[in-house]
Amino acid sequence: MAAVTVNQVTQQPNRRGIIVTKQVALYAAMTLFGLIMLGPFILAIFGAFKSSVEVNSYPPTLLPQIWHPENFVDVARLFPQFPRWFVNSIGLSTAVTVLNVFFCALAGYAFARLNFPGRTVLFLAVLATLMIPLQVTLIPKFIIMKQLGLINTYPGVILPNISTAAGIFLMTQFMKAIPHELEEAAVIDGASKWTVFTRVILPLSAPALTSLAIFSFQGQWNDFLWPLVVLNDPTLFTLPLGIAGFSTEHIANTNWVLVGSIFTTLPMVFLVFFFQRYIIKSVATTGGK
Amino acid sequence: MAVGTGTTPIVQTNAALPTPVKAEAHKRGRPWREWLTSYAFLIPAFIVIGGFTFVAMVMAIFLSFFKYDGFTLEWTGLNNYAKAIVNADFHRALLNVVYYMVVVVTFQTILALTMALVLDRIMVGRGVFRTVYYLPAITSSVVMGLIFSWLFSPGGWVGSIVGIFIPGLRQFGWLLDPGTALPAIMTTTIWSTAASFMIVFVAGLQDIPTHIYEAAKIDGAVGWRSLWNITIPLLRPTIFLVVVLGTIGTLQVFDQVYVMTNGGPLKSTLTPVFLIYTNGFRDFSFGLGSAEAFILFAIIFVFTLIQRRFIDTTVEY
Repeated sequence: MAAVTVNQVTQQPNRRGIIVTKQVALYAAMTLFGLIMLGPFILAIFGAFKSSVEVNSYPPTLLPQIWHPENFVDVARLFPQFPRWFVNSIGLSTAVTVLNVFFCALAGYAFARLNFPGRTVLFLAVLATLMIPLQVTLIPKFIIMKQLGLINTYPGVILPNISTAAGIFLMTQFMKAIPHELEEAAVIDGASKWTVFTRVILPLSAPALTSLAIFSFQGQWNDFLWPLVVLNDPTLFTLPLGIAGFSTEHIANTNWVLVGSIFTTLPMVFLVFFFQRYIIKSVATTGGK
Repeated sequence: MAVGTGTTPIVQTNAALPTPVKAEAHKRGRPWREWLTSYAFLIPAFIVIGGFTFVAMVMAIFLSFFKYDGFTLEWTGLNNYAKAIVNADFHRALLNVVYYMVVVVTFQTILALTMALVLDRIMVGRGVFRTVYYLPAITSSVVMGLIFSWLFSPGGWVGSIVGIFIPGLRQFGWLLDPGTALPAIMTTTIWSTAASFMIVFVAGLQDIPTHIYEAAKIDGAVGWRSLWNITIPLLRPTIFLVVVLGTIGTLQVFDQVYVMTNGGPLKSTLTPVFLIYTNGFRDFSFGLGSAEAFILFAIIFVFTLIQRRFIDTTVEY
């Protein structure tokens, strides 16, 4: 311990210089690493502007020799299903987000602030479902949907996702922490539980609601396995499903596949840019999903 | 005080205040009204979770003892389990996925922790770097798979860059060779999941009180020593969480395999969930698929328990 202190003292005059050098090296390393993380995106964006020949030519070119911005129009023009998939993805993700947030908030409010018989047991039952992996329920869910006649329908895609155990957990934890006095003031004024929920609890839960909304939207937007199982009709496809099929049918046109990839990624990029702080906060509360 | 990764109630002190008597009396008057309201509020969530998780789970147990193709149901006892256990494809899939899990979880955890530690250390531009590092995490696994399929294609970017050092590999088809296809998928996954677990570590680092670092500094623990003796031990619950979530996630890998290799070449990228999907939805062997799903569930469960034993998650401040 003493050795460390002595070392520091003798290095005092150079310390500033060392710190600056260290920071510069750190930033250089971080930028390089950032380029590795961004690299595939950058290459994909340039690739989307290349001709179908150049995009798969050897050696690969960084920038397109001739820029083909018309690729972005061609994809929508030659394959009218592309815009349709985009609309499907937006619609289904929005529907799941709204319903999941609302239902989880309702359940979270009941678990966090109301008294009823079986509260603990039911809450534990909800938490227990977090352990059940997706693939166990995949086949039964498909059979249930088939019995309900919901194969190849939008409700079939969204129904299993409009209430999630993780969402209920997040809501319950957040709503437990809201001070009781705020609610009681409303109760004394004669407000019903529903009024308390919509007028007092929901507005105060805005940060948690936002976090859950972001995760729901992102989860549904990127979901692949369940839509793949439920949907066969290409007009109903979501973007990931659509471009996965498209890529096998048009192997030679990687440039178009990359255009589709960009359209699938952009909305998520906007989501992160605008809501980054909520993402970190909610991860701090729930530890991941 | 023991502090885990759980929540810290923000307004705990307020919640502990005595509740006004008036409201309490009101509540005691008609408890059944509150019960009814509660159940009404819970109904939507319970229909969805009950139907698509609990009922589905029971159905899966039931199905795993039957031969079912969507039309005829035939009791076969443990036949599906026996079939799965002796099935060479299922063995291959399990071996593949364990290999995949070990490599991916190791690298993604180290990478995620390193990224989070570096982000915690810099003073300027933290937000920008965090966003850039986080971008791969929000990309759909299908898009990721498609972009990396292109990068790994013969004469693609990966081959060209590796080819600078090993010229023989310039036109190498990484996804077409049984030896490199699975590592290529691993790389794709690590690239995106390291980013998402980085955020978990960023949140975990924020939970460590600064006074501990200050105390350590007075005792002479700075730099690597502070990292090794303070930060890492205090992050143990977060590390456990990341390892467990990583294990559960990697053992269920499907999307990348479907998009990049379809289980090939020579079944070198066959995974259990891919097999369950093909057995269930291409061959319509729903019973066999369910049995395989339960075996995988058991394996996930065992791995989680093992990790629980090996990673001590209790932290004392």
